[in-house]
Amino acid sequence: MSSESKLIPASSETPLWYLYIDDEDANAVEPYADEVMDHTAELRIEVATPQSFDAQLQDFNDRMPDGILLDLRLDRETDVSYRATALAQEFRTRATEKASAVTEWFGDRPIVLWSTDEKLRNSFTPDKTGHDLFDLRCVKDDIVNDENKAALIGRQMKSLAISYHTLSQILVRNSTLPVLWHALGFSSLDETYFLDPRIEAVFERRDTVLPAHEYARFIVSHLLEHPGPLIDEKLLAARLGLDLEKSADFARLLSYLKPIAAYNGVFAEGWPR
Amino acid sequence: MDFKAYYFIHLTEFVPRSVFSSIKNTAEERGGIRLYRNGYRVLPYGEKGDDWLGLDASTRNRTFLPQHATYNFFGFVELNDPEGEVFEETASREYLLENETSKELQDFVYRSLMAAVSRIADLRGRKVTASQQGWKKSTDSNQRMSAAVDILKAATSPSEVVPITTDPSSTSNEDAQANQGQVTIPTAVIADVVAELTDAIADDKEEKKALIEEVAMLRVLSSLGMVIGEFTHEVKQTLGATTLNAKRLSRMFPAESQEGRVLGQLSQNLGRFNQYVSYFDRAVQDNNRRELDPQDLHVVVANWLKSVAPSAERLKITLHEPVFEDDLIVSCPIHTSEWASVLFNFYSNAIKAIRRAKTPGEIGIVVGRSKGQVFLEFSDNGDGVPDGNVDNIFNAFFTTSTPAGAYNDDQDALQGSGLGLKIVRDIAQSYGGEVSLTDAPAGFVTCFRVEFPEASAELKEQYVL
Repeated sequence: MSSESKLIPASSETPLWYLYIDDEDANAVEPYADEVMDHTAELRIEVATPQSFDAQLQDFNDRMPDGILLDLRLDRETDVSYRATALAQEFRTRATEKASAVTEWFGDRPIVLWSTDEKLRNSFTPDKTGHDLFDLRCVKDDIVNDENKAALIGRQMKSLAISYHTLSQILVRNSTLPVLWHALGFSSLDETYFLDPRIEAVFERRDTVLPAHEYARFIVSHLLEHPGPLIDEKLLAARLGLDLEKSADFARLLSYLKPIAAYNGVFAEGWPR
Repeated sequence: MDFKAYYFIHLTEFVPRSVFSSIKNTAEERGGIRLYRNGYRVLPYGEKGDDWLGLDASTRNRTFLPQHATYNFFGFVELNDPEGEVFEETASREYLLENETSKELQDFVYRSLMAAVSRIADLRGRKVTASQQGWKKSTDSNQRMSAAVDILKAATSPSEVVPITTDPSSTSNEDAQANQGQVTIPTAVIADVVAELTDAIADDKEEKKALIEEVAMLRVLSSLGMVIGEFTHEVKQTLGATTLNAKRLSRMFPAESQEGRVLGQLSQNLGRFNQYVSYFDRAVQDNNRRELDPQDLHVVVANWLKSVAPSAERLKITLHEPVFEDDLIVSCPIHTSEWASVLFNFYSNAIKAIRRAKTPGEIGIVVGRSKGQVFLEFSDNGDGVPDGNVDNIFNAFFTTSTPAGAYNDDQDALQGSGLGLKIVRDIAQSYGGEVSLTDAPAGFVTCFRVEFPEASAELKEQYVL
């Protein structure tokens, strides 16, 4: 990926927006959101302080953001007594129930975690079971110190929002092609011949309809974050025996390969493979 | 044979600064142990560059710590072998022919020198070998009490016993039996024991007082540590936001404009500030973790130097590029904050020494590993540790800093608290390591060496992976 980051002027029509809940003072919180927005086209982040548990959930339901962004600690500067994990858990539960048409919940959305906690850096990659509550975890310091990181975070948040919508649509459509293959960008079963069918088997024998986040977590953590059928540019170069720093033509090579082999299923914009 | 040598210790505490380097140069040129056979000099023993006793090799090895290189000695060995029976010269008239006797000679001379050097080092109160354990200079109350017990034991041993003479008029058997377990102890012995015990009690009181003071101070420091931790954590959010404000503002103006320049500088300054705070935040946060990580000293030192660079720049102190003797130097699991504590204590002592020496300051760090330990040597060119203080510097509350006045704030009071090196020693010892004063490399005056056990092979493997 190019290491140049461009600043994007704010546009009036921002189709995708995240609701960002942080207990800190708005003056201390907005600069982080602004920095990410500066580096990402068509992404809006709206800052708010946490309300009581039930009221906050109701707020999500009413306003229906494209994504939720939470600070880890919500209980320091405010009266609320819960933390991000509790809120995220309840959110996921309701989304799961909606999938089985139990509640009137509005739907499933990506939940992103931002924290000042350095410790988070060590556990940045999603936990391997794929049952992590959060789609993305970021350390706030990275946004301050590195513009490329800020741009990457924005890109990934946007990708998460778009793809969750895509997944939700696929889930509703109820076609014969299994949801996972659909999500990964295949239009028919024949196209999946080169992949191990066990990948899909994870979802096959489920009795209930699964919510979008189950698919999202699986795809991101098992297929995108870990090399397997999909690999990133660095690993591609390594497999081809190329030293990226010395291969000036790599971009040209990629341009030949992309039409044939680039991944264009969900989350591709945030996780190019 | 005859053998005589003069031992010179090249330290500024012994030699006036003005002649220090010229003496050292002379020693390098002309020092060493020469060899004479039957009145004639045998070359090249004792010539510059010759190391026939392995003194320089041993110095490089750094297991035997006191100075013992060739340039520390001026001396000669004189062999009397008129018939040429025992020692033979080689045809080229260089060196003696190597045989059993010449090897024995070499060994004898080396060991004699080392014995003398050890004795002197011990008297100077310096650590003799790198692995020296239980190195303790002072007697304490426990030792005194043990001495008292020993005296009593000796006095009551069977050979010393003087049975009580029975009253000749008493013929009763019971009396005789009753008297059998009793002994007399000479009054002199009792006086000795009493003296030792009295001293022991007095020592004990002193020690307890010192310990209580130390505990109180440590309590203060630990709660301060917690406060600092809280503070840095809180500050980070706001500081990060401020840095971003500056960055975004600076991007709104062209870089060459006046506003652009000022804002650019503001962003830089805040960015530096942010990194400094992050360093502390990381170090303090790690304290809360139960699991310790093995510490890669390349990383530890690099991070520390980055955080201390602004201060050093302000004080016009040159921080030399650290020297790493190995690519992978990993200490056993230690808190990041403890390493930070060690380095900052060394640094603060160095700053004070440099200030007193009124010289452009230089600090050098050498890191390496040997024999299952990793070591870090922290050198400065300050005014050095006077010989009289060498024993004391690791003791609690010993400080040469000017006592804080009534108007100084707490920061000053703590900096000169005299606990710095004691804390470093406590940290090192708690992990099975040690800290000591060692000979400074060329160009420096004081060198502190801290050692920790190395991370085990399995831990290193995990770490590397």
